Amino acid sequence: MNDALVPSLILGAVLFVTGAAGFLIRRNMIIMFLSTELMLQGVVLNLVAFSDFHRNMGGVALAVFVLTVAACEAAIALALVAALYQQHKTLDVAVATELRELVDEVPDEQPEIETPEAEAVYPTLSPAGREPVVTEEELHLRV
Amino acid sequence: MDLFGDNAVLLLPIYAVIGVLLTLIQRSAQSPALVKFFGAVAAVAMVFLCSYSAGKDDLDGLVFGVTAGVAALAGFGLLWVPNPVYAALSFAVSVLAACGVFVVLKAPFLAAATVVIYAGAVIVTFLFVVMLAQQRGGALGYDSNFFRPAPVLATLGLLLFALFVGVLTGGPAIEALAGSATPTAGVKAVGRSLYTDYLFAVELAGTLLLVATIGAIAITRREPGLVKP
Repeated sequence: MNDALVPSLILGAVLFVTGAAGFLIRRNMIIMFLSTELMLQGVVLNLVAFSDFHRNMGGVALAVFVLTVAACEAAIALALVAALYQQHKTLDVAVATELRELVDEVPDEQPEIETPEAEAVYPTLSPAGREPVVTEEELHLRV
Repeated sequence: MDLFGDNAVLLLPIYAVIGVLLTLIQRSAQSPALVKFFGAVAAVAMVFLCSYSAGKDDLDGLVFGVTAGVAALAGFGLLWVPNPVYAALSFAVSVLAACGVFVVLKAPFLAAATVVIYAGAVIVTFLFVVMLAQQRGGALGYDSNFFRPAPVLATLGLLLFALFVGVLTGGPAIEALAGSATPTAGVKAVGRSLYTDYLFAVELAGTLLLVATIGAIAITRREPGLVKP
């Protein structure tokens, strides 16, 4: 049995979990993107380890395809990051909330929305119709 | 049944990993010196344990141990450092170390391709975006505080533990799957496999690259008369 298989799988697991943690924890869009690349690297390590273990080139070929897709993903993701930066002027992912459903937590640097305090204006009712004539009996009944 | 057998020493890096993750929870602008000390000790211990567990006697084991430790540490660096430029460099170090592991695993073509694509293309593109987007340099305020680190790290620690147990206890089953020892010939075998078994996939990957190029240009290009949304 090849000795390098199990340590390779361990290292792949460590890299994958590190990348996942970075993606979920960090707030900088660029670092989140790098974390996904780190996750891919962990998976590629698994593929290569099993390819070496089985003496089969299938794993390495699949790893080459993973590299291709990662390159495409890098191009698209960096284009999206640049576009988002143009729009928000920050790389904080907590600011990009247009498509998110509303939750309680508010990002830290979100500016407070100032509401101008207008003076209270109440509507006035213009009198309409004829004032009813009240007899003494009705007045007595009302009291 | 012995749960871990000979690989029990591989459990030790788990504790180091958990220690590093625990230090991440504590991170703040003024993290206490004890936490930093603990993180440093855990990091050094992880490198040594990786090299000890993998490096039996031969050179391959030694190279594997050192590169694996460096790859894991640089991965943690990506998770840890506030400055995005340092994070990118840490990622590059991690990828280079993983390429050393690829060489040990007898995949030199993949190692070279990874160095060219990741350390060459992706990191450079990346630093360009950092340069365009963060001209002030250094870490900004939002970079130094994490999103809900405790539940995420607890869940991922559980996942990591499950992966370790699965890998370490699956030893006999994995051993039964070992392939026949037909010799591999490096780049030649990879090329033959790619262009015979996976020919259509190669064509598809080329098409995907073209589509991604067009898409990236379409996303970033701004028409002069277009009103900004």
